[in-house]
Amino acid sequence: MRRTLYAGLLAGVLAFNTQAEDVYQDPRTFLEETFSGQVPAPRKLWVTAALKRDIKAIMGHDLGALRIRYWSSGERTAWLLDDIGKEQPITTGLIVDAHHLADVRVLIYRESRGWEVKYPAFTDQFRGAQLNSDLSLDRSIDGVAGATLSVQALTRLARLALLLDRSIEPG
Amino acid sequence: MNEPSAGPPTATRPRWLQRWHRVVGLVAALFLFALASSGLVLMFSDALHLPSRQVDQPWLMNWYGIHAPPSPRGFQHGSHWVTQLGKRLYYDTHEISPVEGVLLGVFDVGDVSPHEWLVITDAELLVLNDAGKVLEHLGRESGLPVGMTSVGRDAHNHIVLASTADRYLYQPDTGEFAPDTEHGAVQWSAGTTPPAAVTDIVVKAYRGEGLSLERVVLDIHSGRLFGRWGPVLIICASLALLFLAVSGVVAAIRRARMD
Repeated sequence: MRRTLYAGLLAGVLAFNTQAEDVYQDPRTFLEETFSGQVPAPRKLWVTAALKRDIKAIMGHDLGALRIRYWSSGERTAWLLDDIGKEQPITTGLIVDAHHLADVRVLIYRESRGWEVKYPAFTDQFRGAQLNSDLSLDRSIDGVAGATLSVQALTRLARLALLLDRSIEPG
Repeated sequence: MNEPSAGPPTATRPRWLQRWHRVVGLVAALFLFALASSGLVLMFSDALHLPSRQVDQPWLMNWYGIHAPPSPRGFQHGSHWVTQLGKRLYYDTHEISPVEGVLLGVFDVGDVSPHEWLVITDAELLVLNDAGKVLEHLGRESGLPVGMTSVGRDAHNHIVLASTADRYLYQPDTGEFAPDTEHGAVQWSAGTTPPAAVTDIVVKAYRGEGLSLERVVLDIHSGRLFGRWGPVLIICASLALLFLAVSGVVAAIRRARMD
């Protein structure tokens, strides 16, 4: 009985320490929901020198690519972006409507802790947010205890999506 | 004949202190030399360009545990080679980008984007330009199939990605992946070991980039170069120097009193 208990505890500890990939929503499904089933063909935003500088100001590093893929229809744009919370990238879907954040969704979470940022109670704070001229959000985002790095990563991604949306050439 | 000496008797002099001062001094001299010389070099670290100077002596790299992966995996792209070493990707001898997964193949995009080509691993797809710069990273978030095992071209020149479960076609105009319904014959891509002229430079670059000369001098200064007991030795040497200072002052005071 005691051995079984120890084995169970050990298995629990090992399972807790294993960094798994939790897919909360498939990126394709996110895009289909965003555009009501009519997903437009992806477009490409080229990273200019000025944009690269602003990206670095927000992210602390550049994105390692010269262009970024996005989807748009009317004034709505959708972005699939990654940022590392502590050790692993958090794949996030962000929707921008007329330069305001309409939705932020954690799609794939790979960190061992901090997954609470997936809940709407946290992500709803971004709804309606805009980017100030100094590249900050126009509001403060309340943190989540035990998920500080994930909160910071999502806040950076929210700023990045607004910056990228702002950088798209009209038309 | 034997008149009493005017000074203090010899027996009262702290000979043990002199003896230990001498022994500790000799031992500490070695450490003092290493500490002082490395400290001096670190003072001029930037002027000597130590942070940017890379160390590539094999014995030192091995000492630091920096080993190149045993077998570089490469694919030929025209007259160039794309080589993967660990999580690094090289275009001939220049590093392109960090990369996730195992390199599966390298392809030209074709008429859709004649100046672009692809590097595909089992975890991501990189779009590159003629200069070897990364234009885009496509990963799971972009619909890249999970668990790819091989890539190749079919009879229609489509790029086919195969996982254990299914096959997909890469669509270069949209950058999306569609299920391969035809399941026709595919010329699967197979990696090989690049020529020695490439691997020698790449392996050297892989190992060399991991260790700056400043790191080595810093580790000599702190003792960390000598393993986990190194810092303990340096602490002992520091204590020895303190002992030397105190014993030297004590000896000087006693000598002044005797005189």
